[in-house]
Amino acid sequence: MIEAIWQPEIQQAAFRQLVKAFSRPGQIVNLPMCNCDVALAVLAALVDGESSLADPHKQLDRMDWLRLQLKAFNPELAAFVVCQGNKPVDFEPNIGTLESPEQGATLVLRVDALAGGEKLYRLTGPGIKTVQDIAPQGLNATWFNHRVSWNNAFPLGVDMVLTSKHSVLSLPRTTHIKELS
Amino acid sequence: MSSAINFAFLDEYAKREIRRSVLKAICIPGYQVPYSSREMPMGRGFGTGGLQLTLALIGEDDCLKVIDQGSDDSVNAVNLRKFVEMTCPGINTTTRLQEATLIQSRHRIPERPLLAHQILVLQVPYPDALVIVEPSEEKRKTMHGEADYSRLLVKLYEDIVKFKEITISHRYPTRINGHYIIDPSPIPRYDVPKLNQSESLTLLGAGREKKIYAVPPYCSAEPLAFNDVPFRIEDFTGANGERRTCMICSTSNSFLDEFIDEQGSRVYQCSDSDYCAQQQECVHG
Repeated sequence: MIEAIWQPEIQQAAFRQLVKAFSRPGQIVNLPMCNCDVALAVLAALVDGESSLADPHKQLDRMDWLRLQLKAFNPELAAFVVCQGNKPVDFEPNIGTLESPEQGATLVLRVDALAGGEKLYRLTGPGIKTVQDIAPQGLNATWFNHRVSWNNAFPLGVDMVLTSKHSVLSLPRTTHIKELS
Repeated sequence: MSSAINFAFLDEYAKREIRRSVLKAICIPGYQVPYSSREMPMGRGFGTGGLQLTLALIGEDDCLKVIDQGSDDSVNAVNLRKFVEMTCPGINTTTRLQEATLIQSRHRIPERPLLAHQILVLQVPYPDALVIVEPSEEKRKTMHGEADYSRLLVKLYEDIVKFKEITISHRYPTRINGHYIIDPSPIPRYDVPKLNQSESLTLLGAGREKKIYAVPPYCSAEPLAFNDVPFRIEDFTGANGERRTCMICSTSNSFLDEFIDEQGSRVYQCSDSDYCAQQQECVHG
């Protein structure tokens, strides 16, 4: 029996939850229907052989790569990079060009949990009515530090998706992050 | 419908490409993300951009409303709705805005404000507001990146010099999140302020021009104007100094279409047919 996430209707449902997450940065959105690792669900809904994916921390197994129908890419060039959030940043992702900012990478960061972390961050920007607070657990501080320089010159930048066991939270390049504690 | 056709007509590769473009469009508000725009079984220019967005978004739990110039019953709306019903077994369609989760529209944003769980998909014929001042797409992309819109402002200024007013009636250039200027599709000026800080997500799809762009919720959308010549919407004040009302439902707070009746006199009626019907229900119970 093939896992649910490889079925088109489950990928569609996952995508709709991603649309919700991306249009409302910082909101924790559940992907219960996938019944598998949520980072893999994000990739299954978005990535195939027509895109590019890097896995610098070796989180995908051989079967995942076969089902995603692509081969590993260099993280500095890939459109999607799946990373382990507790590791420090060890590459410079593609931030796109002034003419084609959509080529800026999407980073899928696996963390322990999306809430309950020690550090509290306050988000503002498009998609957020006033402010949105987040406190992810198991996210190395270097990701947000580097994000500042990657996203320094809008429209260039990277977009992030933090994933936990069952849910996602997105941080588009337009979201401003301020550390509260 | 034969099961040989994939749910929502598009193959899964096409859907995934649109998904990637949609998410990038949301992340870069107002930027026109290029995509491949597959051939659809209808001519480009008949809403294929909006339709591809709808088909990439739709799932079995969705309830779809399709409108054309505010009406659920005009040819374009009926055909697109039938196509989605045919290719997406299990979905629901409606004409009532409150029941819809997905709203595909041509030339209007519904009268009643959309809610957070609803997504508005607009069909776009000409996505680039700069096309009137710069023919080369390569140069336009640089201008957009640099947010260099001086030539567009000169165009508006020339209008004021010639006609004492900015004469753009629809497709009014609108600045999203303080950077990109979009063509908000041929919606009247009346609808442009609805994009600003709206509760719902708006996605715009241009099938012929192969572009997808977005206005996220709670995002600024400012119509281009000058400090001393502010943006203004259509004026429905009649000769007697009062605002004209709809001849069917008598409401005085909707966008009105003008007709010539059989006697040759001008009459006005709501452009949003669902809003008009619901106003009548309120009056007549």
